[in-house]
Amino acid sequence: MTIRLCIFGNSHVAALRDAWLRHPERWPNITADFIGAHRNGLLETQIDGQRLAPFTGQSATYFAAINKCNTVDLRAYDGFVIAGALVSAAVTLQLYREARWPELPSLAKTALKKRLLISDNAAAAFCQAKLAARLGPLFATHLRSGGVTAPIWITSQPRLSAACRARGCSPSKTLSRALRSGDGPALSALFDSAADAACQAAGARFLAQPEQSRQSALLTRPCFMNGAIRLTGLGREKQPKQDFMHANATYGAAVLDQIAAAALP
Amino acid sequence: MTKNQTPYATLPARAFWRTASPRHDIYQPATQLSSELKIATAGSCFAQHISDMLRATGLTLLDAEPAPAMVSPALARRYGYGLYAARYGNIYSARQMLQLLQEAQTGKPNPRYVWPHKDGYVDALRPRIEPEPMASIDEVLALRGHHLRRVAELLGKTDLMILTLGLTEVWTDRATGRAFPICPGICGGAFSDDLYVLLTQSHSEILADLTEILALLRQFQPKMQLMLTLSPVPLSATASAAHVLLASARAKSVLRSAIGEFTEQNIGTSYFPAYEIITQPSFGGPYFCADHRQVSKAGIALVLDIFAQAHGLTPATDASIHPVKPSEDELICDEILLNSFAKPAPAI
Repeated sequence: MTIRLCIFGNSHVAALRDAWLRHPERWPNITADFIGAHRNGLLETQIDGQRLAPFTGQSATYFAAINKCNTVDLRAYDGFVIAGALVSAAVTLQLYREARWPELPSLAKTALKKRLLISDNAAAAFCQAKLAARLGPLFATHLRSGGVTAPIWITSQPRLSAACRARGCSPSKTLSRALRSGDGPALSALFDSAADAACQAAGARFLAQPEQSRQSALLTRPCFMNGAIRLTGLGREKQPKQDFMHANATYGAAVLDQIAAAALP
Repeated sequence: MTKNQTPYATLPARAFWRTASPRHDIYQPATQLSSELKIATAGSCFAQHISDMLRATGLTLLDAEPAPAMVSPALARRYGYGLYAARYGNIYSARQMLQLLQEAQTGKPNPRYVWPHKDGYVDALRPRIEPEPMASIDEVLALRGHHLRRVAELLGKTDLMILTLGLTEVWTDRATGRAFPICPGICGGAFSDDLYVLLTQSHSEILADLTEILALLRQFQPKMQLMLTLSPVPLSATASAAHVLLASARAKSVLRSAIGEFTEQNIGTSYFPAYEIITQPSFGGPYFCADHRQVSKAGIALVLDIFAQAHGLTPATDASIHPVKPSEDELICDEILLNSFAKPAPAI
């Protein structure tokens, strides 16, 4: 039995497409088409009779340049994947910058003069609400409201590359503080559960970042990130060296394995 | 003595029913407001309108417990943020306010006031501050301790406290006298006559509480001024055995009377007549929604207009009054829960 998948995404879909192009034989029971668009390109579409087409010039440009198409027949697929799409663990760090909550192990040692203490329930609800407004869940809702009934999976955006620490250029003080304080696992777990709830509310299922790719709970092992390529229609254009956000084909393959496990009976 | 020699001869137009202009004369502020003045709000659900009104006039409203920046205003309100100057929830009675100030002085939450609810626990002194109960007693106490510290910090920098009172019926802990915002057993705890007793505050009790509130506020900030308002929203229910209309009239009358005497006796205190603006026909009202209980948007707008005009402030557009634009029934109100106990009205 072969499952026909349409894999949507923003720049993070490039890792999955790269893995697929390199090792298509690894997933013999899947056929996959990849539809990528930067920024809000996926949302700037309309669904008419289950055909998805861009309605802004920007979106049409993405569809033409990256995907070489101007419309997607949604009826041709047994399931849909939305890759990355801003469903990112950075949301929990955004909350962590201002607040603490009882589930965090560091709470006992934290002076709360500047930071707010919020409840565990509030932390979960705030993260869920923030994630629900991100591209992934919004696009899933868009597909559902357009009549799509097939399964939709939303894959996690990869956590930042651990290489950012090795090179001494940690991109945020909050992340460094979280890693030092021992709050990483709790923040990571909060993200996974909040993303799961946000995706469910949008009619989709969340696929968390593959365990083997994680490092220190909030980072991604460099071997899953080094050599990432950009989402373009021009082939293999590498991400700049300072990019710590995008994953490579090894990561893409791990995610495709997850998708296959979820999609195949 | 001729007619011209009586005390009435020299009174201004506002002293006479025939010549008083309700809109222009009703409120003569004792306190000058400016954007430099740091204002805190507290009180019954109607006080949420007062908070919104103050924001709309560009005044500096303190917020000791702001929601994290990533949280939308609507979600923040569901979790008790952005309603008042701190997350104390609704404070319906003078007794509740007094005890909050006393607790903020000590900074020590009491585990006695943690109620079990559903599969968790709630803070009995603000049981609906969050939509779901917390997982443990420790969590409730940690959150309350944090809240008390923030309240103490808030009071230390407040120039003007605006307190809106609403109720005289208060459910209290029989052993300690601690007042709750809502009857135990409704959203947490279990009601028991042995544990809880209804206190219906008298004029003298409210007056005494207000006097102590002022003294405590000034321990935090010696120059703090206190502006009182009275919620025009009638009681949702009464446990007094009286008809709810009569109980409402009693509560509002006693509160209004005590507030009047208190503000006449204490320098640095004042009264803003939102109650009269909403309820008196002279203003074109009364301004209530179809349920004759919630205040209508037109009423809120009139209150804002009179307040702003008296203070020489410019009210902003309706959009900035409510960043979330809650409708009347979206106000965060504990008392409204009592409606669920009402039996269907008998057929006439």
